[in-house]
Amino acid sequence: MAIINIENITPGMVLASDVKDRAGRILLAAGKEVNEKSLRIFKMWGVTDADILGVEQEEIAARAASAIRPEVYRDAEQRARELFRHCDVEHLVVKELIRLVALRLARKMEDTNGSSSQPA
Amino acid sequence: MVAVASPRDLLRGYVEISSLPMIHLRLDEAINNPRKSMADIAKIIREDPGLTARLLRIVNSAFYNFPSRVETISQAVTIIGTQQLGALALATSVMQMFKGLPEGFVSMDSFWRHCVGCGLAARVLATLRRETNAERHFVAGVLHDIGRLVMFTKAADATREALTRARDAQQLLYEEERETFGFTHAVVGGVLLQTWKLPASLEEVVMFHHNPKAATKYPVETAIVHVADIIAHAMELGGNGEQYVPPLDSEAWDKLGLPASALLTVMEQVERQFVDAVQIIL
Repeated sequence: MAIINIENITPGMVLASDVKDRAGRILLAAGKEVNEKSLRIFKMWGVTDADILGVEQEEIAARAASAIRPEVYRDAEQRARELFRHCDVEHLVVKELIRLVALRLARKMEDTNGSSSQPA
Repeated sequence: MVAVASPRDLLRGYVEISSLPMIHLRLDEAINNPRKSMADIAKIIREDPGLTARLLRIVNSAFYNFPSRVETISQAVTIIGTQQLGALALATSVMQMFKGLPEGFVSMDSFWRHCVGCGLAARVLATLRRETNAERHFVAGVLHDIGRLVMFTKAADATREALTRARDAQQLLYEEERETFGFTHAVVGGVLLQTWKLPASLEEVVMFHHNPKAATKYPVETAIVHVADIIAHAMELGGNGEQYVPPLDSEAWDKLGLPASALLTVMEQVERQFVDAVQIIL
């Protein structure tokens, strides 16, 4: 089980613990299966992640990065690190930002390359 | 050497921006006057056709995603609230004020894109925190770098010097501003909002967005824009002359009380709203 970002949760996943809104009210209890409607409700109440059974955080991250070639990701990460050179790169939040920025850059790079040079 | 002694010196004699459009004073007065009704407020907004059109476009954009069209200002006031509409009116009007200014080191378009990105990020962060008036954070985000526009236009030589040094030494521009001017754009912005007699919360947020620890009265508001600025820089939305992401203040992040997973949500929502928002507001 792992804490998965709401954007990566898909219908059919099962909660490992209760999802609560910021006031502590339970929106969906542990053991329940997430569906389209509950996802909408989570977003409406500002939930940003949930504890999901049987999935690992790394697995999700890998899935998000799977369409990206490693060398492209490396370039993107280098560029992201350069942007953040005045930040404390050991800080948890900065780390997450660098990862997200690198992913975003890499996707853009793949998109611009892909449209011209990728074989069908 | 530079002949600028204080932020006030920069603002002195800057007639184009010496005061806010009259309509804001009246709008502000009406919003905070319990005896005025929503209809009174709608009436004031309608007197300015440009403002009316801009507000309606914002209300009907991806910014809100209402299921049906909002046709009139009266409807808009009812649906999103007087405080909120007042905040949006302020953001768009300040941008209009600076529209005619000559372009300096960065294009106005690029500059405001950064500001809109920061405003959107601030608004999403506020929404995730379930703040009651998210628009107020949007305005603070949009206005956070306003002092830099003053520096660009009123102290072009000194600014060029700071920009060049920042670029050559791979330094943060606001640190170089401190070196050149003795103060940063944040302070200039804060003082400008003070002369405009805008709420003290806005002034403090703008003044301390690079130094959130110093915000004693509105620490959470300041923390929101501090983090939003970092997100806008990280996403490279527009540009304000700063080439690096400003350092994150760890305490400011903690003040938000949000998990790190909120970052992806914020970035995706900002991405979704950005194109629409820029088209409407700029």
